[in-house]
Amino acid sequence: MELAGIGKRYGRGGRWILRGVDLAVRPGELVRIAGANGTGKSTLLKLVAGIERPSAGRVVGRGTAAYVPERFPPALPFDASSYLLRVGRVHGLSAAEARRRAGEWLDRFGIADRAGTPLSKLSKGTCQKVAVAQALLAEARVLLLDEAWTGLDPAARAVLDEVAAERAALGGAVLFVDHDPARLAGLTTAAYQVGTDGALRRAEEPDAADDGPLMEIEVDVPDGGPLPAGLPGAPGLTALEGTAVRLTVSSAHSDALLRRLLTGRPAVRVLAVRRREGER
Amino acid sequence: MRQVGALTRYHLELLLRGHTWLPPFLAYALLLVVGVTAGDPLLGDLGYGAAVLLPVSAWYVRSALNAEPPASRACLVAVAGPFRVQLGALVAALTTGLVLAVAEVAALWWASGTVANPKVDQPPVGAALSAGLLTSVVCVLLGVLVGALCNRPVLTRAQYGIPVALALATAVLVAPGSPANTAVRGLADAARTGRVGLPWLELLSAAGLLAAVAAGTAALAGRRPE
Repeated sequence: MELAGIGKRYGRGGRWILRGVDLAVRPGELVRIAGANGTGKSTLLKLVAGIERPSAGRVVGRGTAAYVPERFPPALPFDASSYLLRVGRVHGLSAAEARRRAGEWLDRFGIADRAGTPLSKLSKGTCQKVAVAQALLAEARVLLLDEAWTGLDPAARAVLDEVAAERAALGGAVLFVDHDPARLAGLTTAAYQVGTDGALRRAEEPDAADDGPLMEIEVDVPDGGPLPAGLPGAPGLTALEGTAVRLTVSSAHSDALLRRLLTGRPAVRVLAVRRREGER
Repeated sequence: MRQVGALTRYHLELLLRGHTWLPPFLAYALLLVVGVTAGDPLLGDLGYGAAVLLPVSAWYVRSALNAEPPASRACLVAVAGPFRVQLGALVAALTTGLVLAVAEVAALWWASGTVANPKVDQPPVGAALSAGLLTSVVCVLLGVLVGALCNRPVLTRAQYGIPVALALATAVLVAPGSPANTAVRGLADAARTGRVGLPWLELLSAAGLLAAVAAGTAALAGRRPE
């Protein structure tokens, strides 16, 4: 997918919110769009999604997209599962498949018990989970997350982190905006900054894959389940005695890895964190 | 096309679950109760019922388009594109109007007396009902057309939507040469003379006009989002 010379302004003679933006995103990329408030980060995602039309330039080869808005309206008269079913049908899924996946995602976000509750009766955070699930139902080639983490509880944030990494690992392109600069740290393949002049510049290279000394994190997985795929920094795994596992990762990614291990599933107990012996 | 079908289902369910189908329906029922006297000739009643259905269908377009909050519409647009989302809403309004047309013809058949003016030879009731149904469909098609022109994305200032739609609906009903005017007048003439003709030509031209306008406004939805 490629943006070529994209510009956006509202009304003739309006200020250029985005100008001369060129951006190529390949399958498997996880791209952060940063910038101060009101610089057009969200607008950029909307242009990619086809929700807004660029005033100049064009979007090439987008394919199917899925979009999570930052505020999802509880004004919709649906209940969670029938909304997901209807959106799944629009995604082109069969009714049975849409129903199955809707159930799966509601379960993964821990709100399966509220599947039949009207959206208007759900809390803001639960509603946001439905908004995220709606975008994940079908494996769209491009996933656009516009501050989708806002309003989610820590467990759901961890799930969304995992899912974004999974989607990229499966060959999707993920573009996201989030105010937390540590969001998906160690997993993003590129980061861009939207300036106040509307230009898109490459931000500091986050993919410093072998930055700093190697760290060893030893964890115990009490239920013996496998660790999730797509962990930050792609750690090397060594099975220790019992259900313990040693993860080896560069120190640039160790914080992100720890955060993910502690908030994600399966639940783990951290046994040790240390710098690898004999290193620098 | 399958995606438009799914979007139509989505918008129909929005209309149903949000109860936004109810106000136009109640208004229409009220207008029929006020305007139709039990025992009047069927053909005359059918003409009235069809004519009133035109602004009601335009109202359904407004309901279908406004039932969707911008954020959830954005999610649909990302999946299916603005053209299909707009088309889905229009088809949902059209479907509601058509259901109402069938109900209207059935109700008027039940409530009316003779088929035509009692002083003339009575035409067969089947022909009268077919003519009434076709005329109602013509009015629904043109009502959806009026609604498509008087709402987002064509008319983006919400406060003008209702008065402009009413004016345009009246114009479409009274303008000589408009398919709705010709078809409704045909029913009134048939009620007087007892000679029923089926408005196939009007139906075709109304369908053609709506197809063109629907495609035009859906294309505009892509150019002028939100």
